[in-house]
Amino acid sequence: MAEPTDEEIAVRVQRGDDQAFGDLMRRYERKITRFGRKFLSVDEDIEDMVQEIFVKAFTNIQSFDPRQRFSPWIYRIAHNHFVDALKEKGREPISFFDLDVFLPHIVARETPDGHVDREELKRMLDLSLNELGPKYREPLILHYFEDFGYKEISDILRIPVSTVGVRLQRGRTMMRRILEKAGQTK
Amino acid sequence: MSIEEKEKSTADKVLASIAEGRVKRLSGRYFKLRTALKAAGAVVAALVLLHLVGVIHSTLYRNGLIYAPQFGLHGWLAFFGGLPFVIIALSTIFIVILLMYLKRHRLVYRRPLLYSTVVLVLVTLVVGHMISRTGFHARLLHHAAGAPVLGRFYRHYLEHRANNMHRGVVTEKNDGGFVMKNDGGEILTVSFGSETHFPDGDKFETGDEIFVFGKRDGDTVRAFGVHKIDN
Repeated sequence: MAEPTDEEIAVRVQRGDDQAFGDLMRRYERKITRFGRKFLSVDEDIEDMVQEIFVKAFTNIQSFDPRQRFSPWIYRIAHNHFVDALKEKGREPISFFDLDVFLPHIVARETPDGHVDREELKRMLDLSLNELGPKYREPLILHYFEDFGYKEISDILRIPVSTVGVRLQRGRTMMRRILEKAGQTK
Repeated sequence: MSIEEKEKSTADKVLASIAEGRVKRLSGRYFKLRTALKAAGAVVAALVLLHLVGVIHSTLYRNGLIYAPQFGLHGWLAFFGGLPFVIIALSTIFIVILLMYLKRHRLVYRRPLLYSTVVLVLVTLVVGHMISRTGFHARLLHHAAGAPVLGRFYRHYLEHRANNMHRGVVTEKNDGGFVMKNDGGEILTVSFGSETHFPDGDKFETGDEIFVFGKRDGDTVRAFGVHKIDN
């Protein structure tokens, strides 16, 4: 028998099956923890944060629309929580108004990365993530480590799809410059 | 502790909190109510915005400033100089409020915010113009002028006079101009020159309602432009 989808489990939780929420947590804990560690560049407190994220997800589970995918929904909760954590620590504040989001961009359509390029990019990301600002770090993590497409990243970050493409492009360029400076690129 | 044990404990901690009632899910009714309240707030903001645009529209037609751009560079300068900036600023605030509400929807946030802003401004201008042309705002301004708190605000825009715009009726024709009686009952002599613009033609009859754009010197006005008011 096929495993139930995240959305099917979420509907069961909405109908009162609290234990089913445990299945969702087990599916997402590693992913959310990895996302948090890379986005915040910290190891400590991350388990507490992940726990708080799941508590928020359960509390607000009735706001989840089962016609949509569950994954961007819970990542959106995680994004909001991690951004609040950044703001509380006074680290790398994210601006209220961003021209990137307001203006249109001409960006190449999303195309599948070659296997070799993707793995190389992930390696480069791991080396340079700390040097990148959250604005560029987060889309890179969501795309290369969490395997989200442009539209899903748009849903998580609530930014235009074209802005996702622009930030990925700029992020990759910045990352290469950082690594060239450090003598890390091939 | 292994990763599996660590993971198990996180899920178990949350499930234990749920079982003990320390963590509860918010009801579906709560979210429906919240959605309804936000939508109601957006509707109110939209109505206030349309109202403000209607006040701007009525004011510009009432004081004739809307016709000023027809009279060349002087007209454009008078137009921008005479705009009701306070209401425009208030309208901008409500546009921002509406955008903040609309930005939560996929249809809006997936595209650059500029598109939604342009659509919102255009829709507001068109609908505000359509409502104002019914005369609703002109009547509303008259009624509201007597209101205890907002009356002063409305009276200001009802009585708002644009610099160098003179509204009145032609009482007598003469060579090189005409004599008019303005809104305030004053008799003004209007003279034309080579620089005078006539968007509706230069034939005027006694009784014609007109806007004259020009600098006043005593009881004479040297016209930069004359616009006939349609009934």
